[in-house]
Amino acid sequence: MVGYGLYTACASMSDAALPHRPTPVVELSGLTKRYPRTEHVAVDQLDLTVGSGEILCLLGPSGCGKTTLLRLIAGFEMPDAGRVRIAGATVADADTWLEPERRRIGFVFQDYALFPHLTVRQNVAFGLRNGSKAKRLQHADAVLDLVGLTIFAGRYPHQLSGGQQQRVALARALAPAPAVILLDEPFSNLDAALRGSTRTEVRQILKRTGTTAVLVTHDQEEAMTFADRIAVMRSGHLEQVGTPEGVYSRPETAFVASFLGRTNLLRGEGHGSVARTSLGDLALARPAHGQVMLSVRPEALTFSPNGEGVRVRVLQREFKGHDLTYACQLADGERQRLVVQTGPSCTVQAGDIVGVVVAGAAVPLQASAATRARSSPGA
Amino acid sequence: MASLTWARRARRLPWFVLIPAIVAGIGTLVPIVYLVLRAFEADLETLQRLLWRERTWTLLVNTLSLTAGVLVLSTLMAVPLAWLTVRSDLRWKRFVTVLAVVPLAIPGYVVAYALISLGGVNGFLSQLFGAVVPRPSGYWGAVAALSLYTYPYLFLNVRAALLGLDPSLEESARSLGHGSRAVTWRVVLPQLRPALLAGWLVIALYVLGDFGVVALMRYEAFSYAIYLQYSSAFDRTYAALLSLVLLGLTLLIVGTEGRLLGRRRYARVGSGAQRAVVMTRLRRWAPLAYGYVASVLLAALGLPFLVLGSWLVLAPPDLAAWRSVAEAFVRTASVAAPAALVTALAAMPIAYLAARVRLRGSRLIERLAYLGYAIPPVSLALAMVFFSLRAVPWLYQTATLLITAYVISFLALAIGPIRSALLQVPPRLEEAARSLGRRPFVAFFETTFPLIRRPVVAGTALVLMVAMKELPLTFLLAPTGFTTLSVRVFTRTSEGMMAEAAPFALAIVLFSSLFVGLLVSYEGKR
Repeated sequence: MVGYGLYTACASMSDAALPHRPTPVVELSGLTKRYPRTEHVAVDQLDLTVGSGEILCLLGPSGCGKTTLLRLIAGFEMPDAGRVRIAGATVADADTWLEPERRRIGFVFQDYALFPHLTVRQNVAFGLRNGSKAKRLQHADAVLDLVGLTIFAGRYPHQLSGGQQQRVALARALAPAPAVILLDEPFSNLDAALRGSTRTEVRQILKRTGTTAVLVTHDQEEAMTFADRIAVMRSGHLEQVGTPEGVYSRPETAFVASFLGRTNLLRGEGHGSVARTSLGDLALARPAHGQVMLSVRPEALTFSPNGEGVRVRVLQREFKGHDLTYACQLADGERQRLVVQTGPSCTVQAGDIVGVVVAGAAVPLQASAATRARSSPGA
Repeated sequence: MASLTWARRARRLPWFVLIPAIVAGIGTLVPIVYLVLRAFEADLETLQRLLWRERTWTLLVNTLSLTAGVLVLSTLMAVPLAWLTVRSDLRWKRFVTVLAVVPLAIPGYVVAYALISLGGVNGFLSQLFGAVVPRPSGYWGAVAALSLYTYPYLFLNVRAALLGLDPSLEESARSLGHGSRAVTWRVVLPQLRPALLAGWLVIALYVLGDFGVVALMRYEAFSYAIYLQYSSAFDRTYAALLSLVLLGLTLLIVGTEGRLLGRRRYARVGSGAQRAVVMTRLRRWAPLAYGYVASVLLAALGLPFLVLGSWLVLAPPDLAAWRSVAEAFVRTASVAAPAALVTALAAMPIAYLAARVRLRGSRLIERLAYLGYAIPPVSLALAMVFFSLRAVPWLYQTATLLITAYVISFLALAIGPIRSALLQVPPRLEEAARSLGRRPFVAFFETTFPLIRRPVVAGTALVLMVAMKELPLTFLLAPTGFTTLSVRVFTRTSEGMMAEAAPFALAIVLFSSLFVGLLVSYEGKR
C-alpha cells in the first residue's frame, strides 16, 4: 500500500496549481471526545474537512482541544461519537475502528519522539516496510536529502540540535508518503531565532512534496505564516475556518478577532452597510442590523493631522521599532478605550489630545459558537 | 452520548499486556483463597477455640518482640554507618559502603549457621581454641542473625536520604539559632523519617517471613511454629489458621507504614542547585568511629566468611562432597532459572499496565503483585500445598508448583525496576512507531523494549539470585529428594553437621556475592 511516491507526487504538484476544490483527505463529522470521569468535553460535535495538498492550522489557546482533535485523527484517542475519514476511507465511527498503524498518517510530536537507540537514518527508515533493506535505506537517504540532513545520517538523535531533530522527525513522518501529516506544536521547542527559519523550511518541504498537513499551534503568528487555512478552536468548538487573511481581516466572533492580534471591540447599532458607534458612522464589512459588536483593527485607525474625527486622549505610547502602538481613551467622557497603530515616526505623545479617523471597514461580530452551545444545552 | 465504557477502553489494550497481567494478578490471590478455605473447613467454634489458645498469644508476643529487637539492633548498626559514610571525614568511604552492602548476598540461615557453629562442644571456637562457649540460640541468637543480614536494607535507605538532604536546610536552622544537636533532632531526623520507615518496613517483613534463622535458632516465632504444626500434627487447621494470622499481621504492618508516612512533603521545595556538603570532622572521635565500622563489618561479613573458611580448612570436603555440591547447584539452578524468566515475562506486562495505562484495575494488579511479595513464605508455601492438593493434585510435589510459588513471591522484585524505567520512556515513542505502521506488539519491541532492556535483565538477575538462596518455599514445596543448596545447608545445620554444611553454604555465598557485584556494576553503567 505504502509506496514511495514522494517524488512523483512532488513533480505533479509543482506543475499544477492548487485545484480550486481539492479532494478531501481528512473529513471529520460530529466528532466528539469526552474525557472519562470529567464533565469536560474536549472536542464537541466538530465538523472539518482538509483538502489534498492543503496545510491547515488548528489554532487556539491551551486546553481548547486542538491536540485532542489531532490525536483523534491519528487514532491515538478513540472518539465518543462522530466519524473520521482519511483519504476516502472511514477510519473511526460508531462501528469502525482502525488502529493508528493502519491509517496512513504521519505524526510529528512536540518533543519529536525520535527513537534514541536508532541513528538518524534508521529513524527515517523505520516507517518503510517494502523493498530490500538497501532500498529502504536508500529511500531514507533521499528523504534526508530533502530536509538537508544527509551528513547527519549516521548520528544519533541526542547528537543533533533541536532544529535538526525537528527536521529528522519531519523526514521520518514523510518517508512512508502518508496521506496526511499531523504536526503537534512542532516548533514550540525551538528558540525564537530558529523558529522562523525552520517554519519556512518545513513549509517549503511540505509544499514541494504536495503533502496534506494539519498543524496544531497556539501561536497566531505561526498559524498565519504557515497555513493555507486556519481553523480557530475554542472549548472544543471551531470558531471560524478560513484563509489567514480572511480570518484576520473578517473575524466572525470577538474571540477570533482578539486571538489573532490586537483589536478594538466597539458597540454599535447596525443600519445595513453602516453602523452608528462612538467613533461616528462606520462602514461595515458585511451588513448588520440592531445592536452589534464591531471589531476595528488598530492599524485601521489613524491620527488625523488636522484634528478631524473623534477626539481622544493618549494614555500610553509604546515604541516597537517597526511601528508604534498607542493606548487612547475617548475624550468626551465615555470610557471606551482604543488601540491605535501607526508608523514608527509618529510624534504624538502621551497626554496629547488628538483626532482619530477610521480608515477601513468595521467587522460586525456574532456570539461565539462555544458560548452558543453553552447557553442552549442539548444543541 | 455516554463516555467510553470500561470494556471498550479495555478492548483497546493489546492482548499481550492484558492477559498475562490478569493471569499473574489473579494467580497471587488463588493460593490465599485456598488457605482461607482450608482454615474455615473447621467450624467457627473450633476456630475460635484454636485462635484464643494461649499458644497463639505466645507466638504473637514472640514474633513481635523478635521484630522489635531486630529493628533496634539493625538501626544501631545501620544509621551510624550511613552517617559516617556520607557526612564524616571517614576514609575509604566507598570501600566501606560496598562492604556494608555485601551481607545482602548472605542468606539469614548462613549467618545463623555461622553463629551456631561458633559455640558448642563440636563448635568452631572449641576446636580452634578449646574454649567451649554455649551455642547462640533462642531470642538473642535470632535477633543477632537477623540483624546482621537485614541491616543493609536500612543502611541503603538512610544513606540515600542523607545524600539527598539539602545542607542549606541545616544551615538555615543554624542561622535561626539552633545548636548542632537541636539541628539533628529538629531538621535532620525528621527528614530521615521516610527512609527509616521504608527500611524498617522491609526489615520487619523479612523478620516476619523468615524461617531459616528462627528454625535454626529454635525460637518459636510464627513461621517456625507453623512449620512445626504443619509437619508434626495431624490437624492442619491450626497451621492454616496461624498462617492467616501471620499474613494479617504482615498486612497490618504494611498498612501502618503507609499511614505513618502520610502525605507530608519531604522533597526539596525550592529551586536552584544543591550545594556540596561540608564533612563533619571526626577528630578525637576517629578511633571510636573506625573501631565501630570495623566491628560491624567484621560481625556481618567477616564472621560468615571466617567460619566457612575455617571449616573448609579444618575438615576439607572430599571429591564426593564437592560433586554433591555441584549436583545441588544444578538442581537449584534448574528451578531458579525458569522462575527468573517467567517472573520477568510476567513483570513486564504488569509494569506496563501500572506505568502506562490509566484504567480502573491496572493499579490493583500491581498491588496484588506486591501482596505476593509481602506474603510470608511459610504462609505462601502452605497456601500452595492446600491449593495444589485441592485443585490440581497432579501439581503437588512438582517443580512446577515450586516455580509458581517463586514467581508469586518475587514478582514485585522485577516489577519495581521495570516500572521506573518505563516511566522514563515517553509513550510517544510507541505512538510514533504506530503512526509509522507498526502493530502494537512490534511497536513496543522495537522502541520501548530496547530502552528498558537493562532493568529487565537486572530484574531477572535479581530474581535468579534470590531464588537460588531461597529456603522456606523450597523446603516445604520441593519434590521429595529434590535437595537444593539452601535445603542442604538447613538440614545439615539442624542436624549439627556443621563441617558438612560448609561447602554448600560457601557455594551459595560465592554465587550471591558474585551476582551482587555484577548487579552493582551493571546498574552503575546506565
